[in-house]
Amino acid sequence: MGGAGPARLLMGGTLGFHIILACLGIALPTIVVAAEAIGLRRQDGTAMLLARRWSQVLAVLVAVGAVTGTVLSFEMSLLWPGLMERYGAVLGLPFGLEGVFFLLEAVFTAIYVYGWNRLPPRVHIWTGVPVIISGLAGAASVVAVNAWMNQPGGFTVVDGVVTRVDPWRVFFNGAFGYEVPHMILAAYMVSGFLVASVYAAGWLRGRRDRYHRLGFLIPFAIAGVLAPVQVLVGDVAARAIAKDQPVKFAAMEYVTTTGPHQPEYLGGVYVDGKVYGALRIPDLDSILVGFSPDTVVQGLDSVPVELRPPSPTLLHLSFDLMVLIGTALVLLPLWAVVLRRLPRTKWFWWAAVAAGPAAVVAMECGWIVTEVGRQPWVVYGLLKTSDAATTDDVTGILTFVVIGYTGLAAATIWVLRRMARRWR
Amino acid sequence: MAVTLVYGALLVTATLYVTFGGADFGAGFWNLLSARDPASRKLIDESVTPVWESNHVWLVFGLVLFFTGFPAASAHVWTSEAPALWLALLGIVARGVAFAFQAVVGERALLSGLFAASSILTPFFMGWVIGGVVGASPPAFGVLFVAAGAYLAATYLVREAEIRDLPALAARFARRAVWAAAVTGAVSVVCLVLLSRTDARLAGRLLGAALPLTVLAALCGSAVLVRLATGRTRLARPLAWVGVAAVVWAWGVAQHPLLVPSAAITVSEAAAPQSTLVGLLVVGAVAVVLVTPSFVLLFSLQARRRLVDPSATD
Repeated sequence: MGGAGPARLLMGGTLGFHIILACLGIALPTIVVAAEAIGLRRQDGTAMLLARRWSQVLAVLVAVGAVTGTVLSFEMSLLWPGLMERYGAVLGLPFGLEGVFFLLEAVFTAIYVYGWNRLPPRVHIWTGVPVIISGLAGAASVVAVNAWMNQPGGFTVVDGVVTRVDPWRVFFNGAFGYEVPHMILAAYMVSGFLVASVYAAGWLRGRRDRYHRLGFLIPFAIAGVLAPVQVLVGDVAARAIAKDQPVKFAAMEYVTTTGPHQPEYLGGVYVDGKVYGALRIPDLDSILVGFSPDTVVQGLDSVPVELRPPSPTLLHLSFDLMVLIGTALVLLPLWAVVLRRLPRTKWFWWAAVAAGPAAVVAMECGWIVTEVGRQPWVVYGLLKTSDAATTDDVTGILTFVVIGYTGLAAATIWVLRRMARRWR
Repeated sequence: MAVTLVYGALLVTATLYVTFGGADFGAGFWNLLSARDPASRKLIDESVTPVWESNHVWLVFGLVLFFTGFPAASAHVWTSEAPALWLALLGIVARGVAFAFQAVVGERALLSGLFAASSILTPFFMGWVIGGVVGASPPAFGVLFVAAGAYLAATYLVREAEIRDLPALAARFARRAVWAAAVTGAVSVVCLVLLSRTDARLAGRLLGAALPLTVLAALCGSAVLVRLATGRTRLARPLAWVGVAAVVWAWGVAQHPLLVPSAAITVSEAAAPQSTLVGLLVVGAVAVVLVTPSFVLLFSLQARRRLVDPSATD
């Protein structure tokens, strides 16, 4: 990791924390508005009550997310002055749009959450729509920046200085098309399965009323419908990575030497160019990349050691775990679809409780693959992370943040549990 | 042309953050001084809860404008002022979290303390950073920011109390606003004197090129002081707003063409390529078209007391 180690851990840790709240900020409004729509349309008091309570949870999560997001916007400049000085003029434009959407989201979230009692119901539900739209557009703008860091383009450099910027091509860069939908779908899966987890747990504790049934079904259905779409998008994304960032792909898939007939490894660790303990399926990696065993896949040997990502094992296991969880999250709702009702066995409900945290784990794994896999570059192929990092020693701040965020996570869960107890 | 407009957009954003976000921090200051005064705390809580997050976002928007429009200047400020910025960030996180949690679980000593302390810490270190940027005494500017926020908050809270038909509270905050106005005025003069010692040119321009704005700020501040002291609250809020906005603009005009006076970085030297500046202006135009009506809606619903804590009826 070199000198950038503490800065990378700090950025990665705070991003990994914020991204959970960001997911909820993006997708929870849809779930809440869906419940309110059901409540309005069917004159269903239970759905209305759920919507109202969820919106209060949303208020807390968005508030915490607003400040943990601010931490990231400070860290961009505090930890990566080299990146911002060189490319601020390029990646700032999507960030600027994100700022606009963030403003709209904050304003309409406040109106939606605090307007329940004194706005007419038909008006109130419509104030939720800008929250949904600005959340999605804001997510697209932020992920566009990350996509740009993976597939930079849309600018001209003369003597090391950016002289021309094409905002359109910066925003809709080479990775935008797969990163943005992948992240937005992930947000819906995380939010849907997480909310459903809460009511599945209640179900297991014997709270089998309509309130818990509906509280489970609305988010579970939304996440369940999108889960198979996510598998397709993820498949497209993986193939695109093989083409756009072959070294990242080689590390993800343990491709040591360039060539055809690459096997697919499931699990296993990678030590000095050798794979141990994996399930090896001959030719499958080549087939997945190019639909033929003869497809040549670029290996880690194509670049010198210092241009390879630091830990193929971390990348590969994260990738495998993400795919495994993603697949399981397609099968779980399918179980209910095949039965045409919610299964009665406890196994289903235990799995549903696990689905929420599992979706979070899968999403975090995805970010590890994207971010660690891009190393040693901060802007792929153009700027090394070590050249962008601050020269300040941030080890002390890192320690402080680890303690602070642990406390913040505990306090957030405590507050949410108190809300739940009050409602019981 | 484009670069001046982006500089102007930066000042507009700074104005909005200082006059709205700053007042939210000021409300936290009064919360601290209202430890045995539940009525004041309730008023503060009701007034700030629905709007603080939206007001906070102006900061994020301003930061993006700064590093995108003027990457070199931004990198310089973030590097040279890193310690104060980390501390301001700590305050932002503590304030937001404490306030949000307090709304759910009620007042608790730890949360109230965190909320109040961070409401003072954050503007202090933001003022510190600005002091560093203009090359004058950072602590003095820190105190100025805290005082200005408290002054704005007290003035706004007079109106909030009147809307709720609470004349006793309105009178209490009017008294507080008078004190805060006097302190803010005095600290402003101290800052100006300190500035004249370190940067005579900048101080001179505040009384030269930016004189109309400086005079406007002084007139508005005095008018608020006199009106509130004599029990007339009408127009106090808009006058206070214009007064503080005029200070921001006086600073912006006085330091132009310099962007970071302490490092002699000019607006045009630090500017991003023309295409980025044009892109930012388009983003700014989108912001004006979409965000302005949204904020008008938010504030008018808040003024008509349409935004209340939904848990009250559960």
